[in-house]
Amino acid sequence: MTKVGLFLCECGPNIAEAVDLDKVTEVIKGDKKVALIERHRLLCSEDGKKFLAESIKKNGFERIVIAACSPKQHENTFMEVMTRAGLNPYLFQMVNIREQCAWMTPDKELATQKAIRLIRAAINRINYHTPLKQKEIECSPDVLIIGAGITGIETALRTAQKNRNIYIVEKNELGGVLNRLQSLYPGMQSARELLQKKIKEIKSHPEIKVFQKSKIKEILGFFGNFIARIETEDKKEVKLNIGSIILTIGGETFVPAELPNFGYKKFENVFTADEFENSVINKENLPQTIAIVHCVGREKFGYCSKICCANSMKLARLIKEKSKNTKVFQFYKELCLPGKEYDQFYKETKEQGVEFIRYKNIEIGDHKIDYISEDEIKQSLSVDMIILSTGLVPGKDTQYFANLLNIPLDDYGFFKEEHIKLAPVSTITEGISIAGGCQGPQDLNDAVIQAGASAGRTLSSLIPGRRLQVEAKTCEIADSICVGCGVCVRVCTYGALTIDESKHISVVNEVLCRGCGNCAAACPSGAARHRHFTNQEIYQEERAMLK
Amino acid sequence: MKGKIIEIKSDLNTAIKNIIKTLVQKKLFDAVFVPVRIPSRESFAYLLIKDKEILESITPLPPTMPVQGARALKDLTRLGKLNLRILCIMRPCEIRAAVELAKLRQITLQNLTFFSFDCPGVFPTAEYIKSPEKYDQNIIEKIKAWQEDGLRPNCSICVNFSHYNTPADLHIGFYRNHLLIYPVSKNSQKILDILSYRAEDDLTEWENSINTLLKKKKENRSRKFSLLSNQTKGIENLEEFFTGCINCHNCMRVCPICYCRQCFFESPEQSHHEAEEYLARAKEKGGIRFPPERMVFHLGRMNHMALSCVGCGSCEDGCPMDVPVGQIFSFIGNEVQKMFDYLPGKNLEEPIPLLTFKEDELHEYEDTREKK
Repeated sequence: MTKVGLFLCECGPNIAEAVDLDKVTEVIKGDKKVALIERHRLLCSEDGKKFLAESIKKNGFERIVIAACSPKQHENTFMEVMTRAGLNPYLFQMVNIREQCAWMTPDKELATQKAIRLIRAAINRINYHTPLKQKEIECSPDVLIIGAGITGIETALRTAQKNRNIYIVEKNELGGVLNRLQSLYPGMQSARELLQKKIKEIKSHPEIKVFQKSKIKEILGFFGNFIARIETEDKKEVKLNIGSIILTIGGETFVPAELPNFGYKKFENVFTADEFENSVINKENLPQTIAIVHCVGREKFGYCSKICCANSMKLARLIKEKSKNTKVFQFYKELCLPGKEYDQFYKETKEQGVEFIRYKNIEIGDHKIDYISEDEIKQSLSVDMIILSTGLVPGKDTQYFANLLNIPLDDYGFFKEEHIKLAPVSTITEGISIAGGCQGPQDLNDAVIQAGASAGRTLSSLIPGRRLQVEAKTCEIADSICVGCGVCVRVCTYGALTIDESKHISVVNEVLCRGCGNCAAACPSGAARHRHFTNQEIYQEERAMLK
Repeated sequence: MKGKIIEIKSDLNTAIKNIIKTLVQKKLFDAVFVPVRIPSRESFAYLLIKDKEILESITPLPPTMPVQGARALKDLTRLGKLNLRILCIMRPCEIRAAVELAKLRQITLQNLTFFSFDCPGVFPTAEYIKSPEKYDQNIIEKIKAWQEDGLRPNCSICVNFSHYNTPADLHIGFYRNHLLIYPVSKNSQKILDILSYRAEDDLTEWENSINTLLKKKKENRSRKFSLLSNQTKGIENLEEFFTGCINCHNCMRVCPICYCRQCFFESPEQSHHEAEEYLARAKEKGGIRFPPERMVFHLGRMNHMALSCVGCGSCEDGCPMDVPVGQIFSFIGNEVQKMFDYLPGKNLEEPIPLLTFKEDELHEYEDTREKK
C-alpha cells in the first residue's frame, strides 16, 4: 500500500478553535490507509512549508492529504512544496475544513464530525489519483490589440516591452471617441492634447506596429497560437502570429431617433451631446438658454451609462466658458456621480449658475420642454437649444468579433466578461481579453484601469522565451469508445472539443480545455473522462464520505 | 384533412408494395429499405433492396419487429451522407427513433425518404416464432378491429401510432378496406405527382376513427402508468421489479437509441473490480448480489435514455426473462419528457434538452420543490 501522509493545519486559531483536531486525529488514526498524521499551527507559513517538505522526505510519503483552508487559497502553495520535495503534485488532495467546517458550522461537535467525513473521503480518494504531467507547448508572446481608441492605445503602451511585438489594428483613424471631445472631466484638460501625445508615443514605439484603416478578416487558432489575417490600408493582406488578443473596440453613443419624445431630428435646435461637443460648440454662437437632458435612452436599454451626468456638467462648463451669460438647465432623472472628485465638481458647476431640475417625464417641443417635475407638477420651459445626453451602447462591430472569436455577449450586447467581479477583463476563452467601452459603459478612468488590467493579465500569461504551461487537470476522449455523437462538443463552454469528421469521433484541444468536466458528465459512453475526477475517484470519495 | 383514398383490391402489404414498385420503376428512389420475411419464414429482417425482383418479396407491414428499424438504419448511415436516394418504410416509433439518432449524429437523414403507416402494433417476437401462420392471419384482423390483446405490451399503450408527432414524408392510413395517402412533408408532393395522385379526398372519417382509438389508448396508458408507478415506488419495489434480470444486457443491445460503441456498464472501469473491492462492498452492505451492477445498469441506462426513449418496447421484446423493462422505460421516459416539454424524434430542429441550458429551468425546479 502507498504511504499516505495526512497534515492537519490549525490555521492559527481559525481551525483549531472551531474544530476539535485532537478528536479528528484520534478517529482517523484507526484508518489503515494513513501512515502518519502530522499537525501544524500554520502550514502555509514559511516555517509550515519547511515542516511539510521535511516531513515528506523524512517519512517517505508517496501521497499527501492536507486538511486546511480552501484549495482556492493554498492548493498551489502546497503543490509547489510537493514538487520541490520530489512528489508529483497531483498525488495530493486538499480538504477544506476552514471555510466548509470551522467558519460555517458554529457547533464544534458538528464541525468536527463534518471535518472527519471530509478527511476520510479525501483519504479514500487519494489512492486512486494518477500522477499528471504538466504539459508545455510552443507559443508566441506577441499581442494583437483590436481597436485604437484611447483604451487600445493605453493597452498597447502597457503591453509593449522588449522581445514582444504588439500589433494594434484600427478600422478608422487612431484615437476613437477622444477625437470628438473638447476636454475631459473633472479636470477639464484638453482631450486633443492628451490624445496627440499618446498617438505620438505608440507610433514611435519600437515594439508597437500600428495598422490604421485596416480590417481584421479572420482569426484562427487558440491561446498561445492565434493567426490573424488583416487587410491593410493599401489593401494588402498581412498574416500575424500572435499568442493573445485584447479587444478594445469601444462602444458607441446612442442615437435617439427612435425615441419621439426627445424631438431629435424633428427640431433643428436639438443635438446629441456628442454632436454638440464635436461641432456645434465651435460653429455657432451660443444662444441665451440651453437645456441639457440626461438619461436619454436609459429606459430603453435598461442600464445607467455612468458617464452622462459628469459629461453633462462638463458641457455646462464649456458653455459657460464660451458664453458666460447663457443660462444652462440640467434636466435629470437620477444624478449618478460616484467617486472622490465629483461632489466638488457638482458643487462648482452649480456655483457657476447652472440650474438642476429633476424630471419624472419629459416631452421636447419646438423651443420648449414640457415636463412633469419631481413633485408631480406639469411644467413648461422655453429654451433656445437642447442637448441630449445619450447613453453608451455596444459598437456595431461587437457582434462581428463575438462571432469571429466565439465569445459570448451579455444581455445588453456588450462582450461578456468571465466574471463581473473577479475576472472583469477576461472572457471565457483563454487568451482573449476585453477592455474599455466594449465591455460596458465606462469613463476614461475605468477604461484606462481596464487597459492596465488586461495588459497585466496578458503579460503574465505569455512570457517571451517560455513555453506555455497547459492545465494538467483536463479531459480526454477515449478514441476506441467515442461514437461521435457530439454531445460533448455542444456542452463544452470553452470550445475545446471538435468532431474529427474523418474518424467520426470527438477530440480535445488540451490548450483550450480548462477541465470543467461538462463533457465527462454528458458523455453517455464514458468516452470523455476527466483526468483528475475519474469515476473511480469520485465514487471512492463519496463512498467514504457517506459511510 | 385531405389526401388520396385508394381501395385495397388484394391485401394491405400488396397494396403498399405496388406503390413502392411504381416509385422505384419511375426512378424516384435508387433503393428501398424495408422488412422482408426471412427464408425460414418465422421472422423478418430489414433489407436494403436495389434489385427489382426482390421487391416482390417485401413485407412493409410485418406482424412482428425483431429489429427496430432505426437500429438497422444506423448501421447503414452512421458514417455520413448517402449518395443513393433511399425510401424507408417504417413504423412511427422507428422513424422517431431515427430522427432522435440523427440529432445524436448516429444517422444521416440526407437522401432518406420516410413512409410511415398507421401501426396496429406488433406481436412479441418470441410468440410469433411459435406459430407464424396464426399471427400472420391475426394481424389482418387486428388492423381491421384495432384490438390490443396479445400485442407487445408497449404497443397497446402507444399513443403515437399514427401520423401525429411522426416526422415522415408521407403517411399511409387504413380505413375500411381502403388505403389513405396523406402527404406530410414538402417532399411528398413529388411522390404524389409521380403516382398521379391528387390529395383531394376528404380524410375526416379516417381522422375520426384515429382519434377515437387514440382516446382509448390514452386511457389504457394512464391506467398502465399508474399501476407501474405503484409497482416501482421506492428502491425495494424497484429491486423487485427487476428481480428476474440476468444481466444479459439484451435490452441495451436491441434498443435503437442506446448508441454507445461500448456500453459504459460493460467497460473495464465499471464492470471489473478487484475481488477486494467487492469484499469491501459486501462488508458494508452485508452481502452483494452477483453478477453485480444490475440495478446500476438499469438505472444508468434509464438516466441516459429517458429523454430520447420512443417507447417502442424493443428492450422488453428482447428480454429472455420477461422483465417489463419496456413499460417502465416508457413510463419514466414520459415523465421526464413531460418535464422538458420534449417528444423524442418529433422534430429534427428541436435540440435534445440536455444540450440546452436555460437558467430559469433551475429556478423552476427550486420553485416546485419549495411549493411541495
